[in-house]
Amino acid sequence: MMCRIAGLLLAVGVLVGGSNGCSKDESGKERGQADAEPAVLYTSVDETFARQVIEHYQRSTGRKVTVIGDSEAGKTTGLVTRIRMEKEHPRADVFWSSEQSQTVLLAQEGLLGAYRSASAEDIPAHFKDSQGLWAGFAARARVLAFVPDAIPEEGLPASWEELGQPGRAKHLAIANPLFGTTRGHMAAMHALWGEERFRAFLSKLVDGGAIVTDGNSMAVRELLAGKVALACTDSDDVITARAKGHNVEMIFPDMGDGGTMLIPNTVALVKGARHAKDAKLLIDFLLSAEVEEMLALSESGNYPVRESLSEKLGVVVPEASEVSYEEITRSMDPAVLACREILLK
Amino acid sequence: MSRDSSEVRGRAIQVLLIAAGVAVFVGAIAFPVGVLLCRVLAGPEPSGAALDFPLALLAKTVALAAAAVAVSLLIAVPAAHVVSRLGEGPVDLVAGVFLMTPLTLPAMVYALGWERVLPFPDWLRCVMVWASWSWPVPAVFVGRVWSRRGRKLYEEALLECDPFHAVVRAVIPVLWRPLVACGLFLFAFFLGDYAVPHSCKMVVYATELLLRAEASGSPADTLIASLPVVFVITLSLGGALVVWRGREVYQDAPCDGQGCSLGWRVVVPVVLAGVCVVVPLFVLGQRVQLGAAMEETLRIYGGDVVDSVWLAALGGLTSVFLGSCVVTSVRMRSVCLVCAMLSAVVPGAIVGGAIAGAYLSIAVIYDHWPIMLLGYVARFGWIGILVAQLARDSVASELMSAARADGASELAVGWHIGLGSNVGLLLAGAMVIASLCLSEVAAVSLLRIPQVNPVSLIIIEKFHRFEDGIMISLSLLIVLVAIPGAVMAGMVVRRFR
Repeated sequence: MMCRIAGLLLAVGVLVGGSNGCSKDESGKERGQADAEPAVLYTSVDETFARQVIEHYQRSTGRKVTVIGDSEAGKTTGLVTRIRMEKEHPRADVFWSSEQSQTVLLAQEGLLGAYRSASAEDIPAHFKDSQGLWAGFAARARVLAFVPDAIPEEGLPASWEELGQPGRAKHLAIANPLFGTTRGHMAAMHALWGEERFRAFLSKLVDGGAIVTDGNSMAVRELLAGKVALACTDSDDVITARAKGHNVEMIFPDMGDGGTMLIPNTVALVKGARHAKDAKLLIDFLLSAEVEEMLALSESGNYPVRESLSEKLGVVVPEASEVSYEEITRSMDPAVLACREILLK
Repeated sequence: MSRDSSEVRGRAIQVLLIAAGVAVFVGAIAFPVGVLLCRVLAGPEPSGAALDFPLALLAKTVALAAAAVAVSLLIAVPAAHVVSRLGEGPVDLVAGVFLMTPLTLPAMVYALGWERVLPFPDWLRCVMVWASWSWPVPAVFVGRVWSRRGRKLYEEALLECDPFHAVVRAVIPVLWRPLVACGLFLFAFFLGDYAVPHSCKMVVYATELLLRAEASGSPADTLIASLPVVFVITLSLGGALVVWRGREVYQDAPCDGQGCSLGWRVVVPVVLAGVCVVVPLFVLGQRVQLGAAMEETLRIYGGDVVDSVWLAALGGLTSVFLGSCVVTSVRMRSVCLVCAMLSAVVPGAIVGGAIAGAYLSIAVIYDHWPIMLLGYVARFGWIGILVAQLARDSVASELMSAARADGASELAVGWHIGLGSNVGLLLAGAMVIASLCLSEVAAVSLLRIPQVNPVSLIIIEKFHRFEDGIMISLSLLIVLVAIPGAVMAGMVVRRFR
């Protein structure tokens, strides 16, 4: 009997292997031929939106794309770690990130290839790397979410730093600042305010009783559950929750230089990409105004970085902080260290 | 064909199967562990942050797991009473199925259902979900001991003293070992679990490790950060092993179905399964327009569900196959058991990182489904070994001795008698492991491939994006595919008691 089971097991393995491991793509080409394979895209954009965009690309160009997404827990950082690990044997051709800080880090580490896409010409310089290593579009904003019935709008802070005022932090939920967009937000605060002021702010949050959650959407869930009155998160989390019928609103607190932090999607060519030709075509598509418009009109509600597009769509883009993404990336390590030592102790 | 050549062929097949088991063991456990150690030694120095152990988080995780174990053992007591009395009738079969159902369904689904029913704090919901999923484990083992020895001792003690003293004198000395061993085993399992706490919005040590594994370029960082929890898990599993090994082996036949009325055999399983399974699933189903949501889910994610299910099933079968090969080979048993237990103490994030690092340059594995299969076996192969060992131990030693006296080799005794007569138990174990694979998050997060989008990761993403329709439909779909496992486990538990 045991032999039969083992035989069955092997048979299942062979069958499955036959149907997947040695599969052909839809055009009937055998895998294993690099030039016949589709471009490989690593993306940390929410699967729902990434799928729509890639399906549109595949339909309109007839070209296939192999997509590997990220897990919700460690948004972006998982794929970035993977790209680092694979640097001797690159699997990814294109990296499409839902934020910018990890892309800038990859660029600094020499893991990205230069490509100045014609599609990115009308993107403002603030959202592009000067060496052509990455380009940004379709931004989200760092926002403070609240339930209108639970807190009057006049009771909301005008700046991020005001969250440290007595009585405010105990009503606040914030995602783990070591990961995702909260990490970049913390680094931006550090870059703008300097070490001492930033650490003082964190201490006030801790003393005030702010709670740290496992991700931005968890912070919003705590807000919707009535456990907190304010949640630091990204604009798309609030827009999505609103689209699902939840009563939640957002404001754009000032970072201290006149605006909040904008987090653009970023697209980059991975250094050593095996399918560079297809990868560049995919990058051209992703950076096009058409895709930026798709994301602006999606449930994610991204803010166009192209002024002409925001005017066309009638989207009011929040005032943006002017701290550069390179400065933010430089502040990443000291900001993370401070968060570890103060907020997560 | 002569008897000699038939024996030679049989032996050759057995040797081949053992070799396949060794290959699985090396591929899933030994090789990745070796590569991980080499990467740690050859890699960059661990950063200072690696030594910044979040001990408060560890204390919180330990407290949560301990509370869950306590509640699980409490729920298991009435269930164990019923398990010990299961007979051969159709009512007993249904009772067995009801009793085993909670364990065979992914616990993450309960968490998503309870979130909508229980106005409890998150930590309490996490405790309840763990407990309501895991209680069948102690129920089966305690029920078995009670059936074979405990009840008899208790009744004998009743002739001399009152029920309270009978329990103290006769029951506790017999039942404490399975209770403590199961408790420690579950405690170790909960400490490494990511999916249930995450679904209950709890940050635990496994959450921290997964984030660190995803964010750090140095495997040493994550490995060092895991040391405190690895230490506690090692202590727990070691303790469970010591307690379990010290037990008496009861060769008594199980008592028959007397002493537990038909009503009890119906009421207890129905109430327990009703509260633990039906309520959260019913609530989930009530939340959305299920028909439309299911249609959308099948249209978009039907392929991912199918892929996830067959891979999880293969993970379960391969884990039990590994266990079967290990326990039938006297030479391999101790080494493999120690190595597999070591892999059991390692959190999923490190398992995933080790497998990815080991197969990075082998495209045929790294880029395709075998990488996920290896991840599942590395993560749950130890449970496969425990199940196979259990199957082997459940055969009367006289039967094995008789086979040896008839000239059967040790390999043949182990393979044909120890395991061959317990195929049902092995398959039920495979299905429980498949269910664990279906809801595994930490390891597979690091082992993504383009062809398969694991359903556990889709559910979590939908949970985060407030897409309840798809999240609930996917949850109910994986419950549906787990039902055969519950039936199989229900059939087995009657024989195993």
